[in-house]
Amino acid sequence: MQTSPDTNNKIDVQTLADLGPLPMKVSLGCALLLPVALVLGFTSENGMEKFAFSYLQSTFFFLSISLGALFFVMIQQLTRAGWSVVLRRLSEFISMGVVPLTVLVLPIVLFTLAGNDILYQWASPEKVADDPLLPAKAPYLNSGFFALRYVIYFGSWIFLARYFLNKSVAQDENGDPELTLLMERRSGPGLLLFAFTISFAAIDFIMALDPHWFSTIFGIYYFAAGLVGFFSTLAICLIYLRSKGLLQAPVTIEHLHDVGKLLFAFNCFWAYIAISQYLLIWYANIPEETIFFQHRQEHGWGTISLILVIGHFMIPFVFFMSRWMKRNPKTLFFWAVYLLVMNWIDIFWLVMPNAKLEGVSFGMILVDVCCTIGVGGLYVAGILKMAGQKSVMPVRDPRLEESLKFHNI
Amino acid sequence: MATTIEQSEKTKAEPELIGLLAEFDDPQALIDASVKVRDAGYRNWDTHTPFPLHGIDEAMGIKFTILPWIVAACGLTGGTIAVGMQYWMNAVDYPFMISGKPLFSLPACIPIIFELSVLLAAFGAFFGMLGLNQLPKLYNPLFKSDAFRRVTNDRFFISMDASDAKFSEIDSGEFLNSLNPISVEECWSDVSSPKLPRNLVLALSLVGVIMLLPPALVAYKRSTTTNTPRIHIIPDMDFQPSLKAQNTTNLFPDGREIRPSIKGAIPRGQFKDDNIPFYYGLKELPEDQDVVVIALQDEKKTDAKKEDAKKPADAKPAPVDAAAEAAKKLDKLPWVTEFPMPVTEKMMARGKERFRIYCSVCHGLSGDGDGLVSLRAMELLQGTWVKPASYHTDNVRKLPIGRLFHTISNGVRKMPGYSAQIPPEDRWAIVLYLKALQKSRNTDANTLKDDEKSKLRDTK
Repeated sequence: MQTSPDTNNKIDVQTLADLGPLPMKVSLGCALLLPVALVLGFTSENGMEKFAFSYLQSTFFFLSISLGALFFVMIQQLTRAGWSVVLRRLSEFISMGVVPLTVLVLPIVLFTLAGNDILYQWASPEKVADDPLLPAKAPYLNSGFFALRYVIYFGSWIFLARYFLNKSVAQDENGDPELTLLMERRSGPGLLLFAFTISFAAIDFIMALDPHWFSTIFGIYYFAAGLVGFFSTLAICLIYLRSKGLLQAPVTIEHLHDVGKLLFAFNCFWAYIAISQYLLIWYANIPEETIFFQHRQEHGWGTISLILVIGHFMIPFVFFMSRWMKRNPKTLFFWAVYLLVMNWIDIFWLVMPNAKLEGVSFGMILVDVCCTIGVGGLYVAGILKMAGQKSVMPVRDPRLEESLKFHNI
Repeated sequence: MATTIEQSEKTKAEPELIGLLAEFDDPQALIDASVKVRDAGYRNWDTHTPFPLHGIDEAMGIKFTILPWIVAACGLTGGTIAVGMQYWMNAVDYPFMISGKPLFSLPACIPIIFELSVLLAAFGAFFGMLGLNQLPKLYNPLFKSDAFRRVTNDRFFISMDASDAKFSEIDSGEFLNSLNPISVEECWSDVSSPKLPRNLVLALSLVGVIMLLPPALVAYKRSTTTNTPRIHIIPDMDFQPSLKAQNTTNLFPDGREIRPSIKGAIPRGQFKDDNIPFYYGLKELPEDQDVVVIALQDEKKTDAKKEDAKKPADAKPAPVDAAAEAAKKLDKLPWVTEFPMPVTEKMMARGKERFRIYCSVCHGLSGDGDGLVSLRAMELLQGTWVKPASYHTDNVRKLPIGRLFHTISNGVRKMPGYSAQIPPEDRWAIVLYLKALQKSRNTDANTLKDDEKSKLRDTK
């Protein structure tokens, strides 16, 4: 394969369309589970609650993955990273998932705007009036401002994701290195915007489910969860695409190793943030803060909490640490799927206890899983549609050669 | 590579061949040559390059390092030490309740576990790496080779140690030559050890002297006095804005910095109503809860009036005054007659010890009321002293143990209450010893067993 940037027109341009129509069909088929979840929810007790919270959990699970991708794309540009060029386009595709998610989150905002208080107690004027705290928080937690913030958050993310994808695709055509310099310059302010929007979005959509409770580290917690989700997804996608013949030569075991390292590192980062949040609340022992963990130790939520401590951190920490685990595509695939499931449980643990349901139940998990697969189908279909005929690799990036020759010491 | 730092001057040994050095000018040539050396079965050999070379590990057949296992072992050791240390310190050696948390609790341990694991893992990585690489190595015979100087610039070397089992001067030389190096050089051991440079000796001596200065200064300052006030390195910690017990403040209306305890507050571990016999010596608290304290105060007041009270012990004074009524009130209370805690040998020993510390100074070692303090007070003849009770009178013998406990706790006549100094279990132990003292003077000989009798006879 000819790799020089000057003559790289000879590189075979591969696209996700090369996978054939099957992935699109499968994801649209999965999307059919969304109405199933809706029916399942509404035919059972407290159906509105079950479905609404499951829907929020599903959308914000996939949103965490796309935001992780957006962060990865920008940080690679900011640090002028060479090794990751072959993975970057795929990350850009995943970050474009914010576009279908904007549409998917819209109903939540519209219902809240209409005064529906199933998810957000603060949306109901009567509940706010009866509450000692909420009137004071009303200048921030009101449906109008909430909708405005939704527009700002998702608008910013769509703008950033589209900007970095379009510039990168434009470089495929003209091979202009100036575009790389431009993206490097824009990624700094872009990351600043990203940091503010993801923090406040996590606060608005998830933390405000319990409007009395607050944790200043919450935005970072969601960010850490998102990066675990993204690197898992990236590893799964890469291994899948390589098995289908896409990116087989450019993405080597060295790149997979580094994705595995990042996955492991950000899993530790997640644990670090989680224990930081827990330890401060545990030490201070203030009732309005401890209620978050108190509730998550009762009604069956204690099991989920323990699964997170042991399954999300301890087991991967011990067994996924070794170099061998990350350099073998099969074991890496296993751990990526495992941690993606753990990330799902993490978001589940954040969102679902706020529903006024009696603890964990099988029905709730069933609705939630169906809902997640349904939303996931639409999410993947949207990404495939937008990836369209674009190359899966930035074929004329000036650092492509460095990335192709990347080698761990 | 075997080094020859120490070479005795006196023996004047012949220089020995310690290895061969092959020079290459291309990294790929080095890798190709390394593969051949590896396949030829040599073990004690090494490659030297100006920069990390991809693929050299495989070419040399180097096994993956065991360093991760060293690091893991050190990290686990650190974590274990951290848990053990915190358990020992917080729960065993110096238990101290902090904001109602359990004495030993895993969340509180996590930061220290993390710190110590990381610290020991880092030590393991650093010293393990040094150890595995046999570093620090101050001298290597290869440094004598002029050609070898270019190893930090643009040349690549294979060095082969003469200690290798397969090494032979001629065969190995030919073998290395067959790898197409630029040159092959022989390395000979040193026969003389170079002298240390004069400047180095001087500099080291100077450093040694300078290093002696701080301890000398500390020793000087610690053994002399000075008029200049001490330096406050961290004034924030030396002069804290926190309120102190004995100071005044404008912050509170009463002008005190110390705050009175909140009404109804019970100190931790001082909730007494769940075990009334143990804390009060009463079977149950009387309806008029204050009677215990009031009776006591009345008794004290009357005592103050009639300072010349002659009657010893707890014998109730007959005169028709408040004291009698107070005493009567106390008599009527439902005192316990059984110990509210298990009676053991240990408790008796403890009671004896505490009695000798707190009681015997007035009451005397045998409880006759002839302690040294009392004897001295009587000698002074100031008239304000009330002779302490002897335990060996019928009146005192009659008293239920709850009443004795109450007297120790709250005092009687001139005797102050000891509840502040002696914890309740010790007060009960003293009561137990006191009953033993009484029994020692008032036992029917017929109730004694034979061996006890003979013991009494034989003891001088």
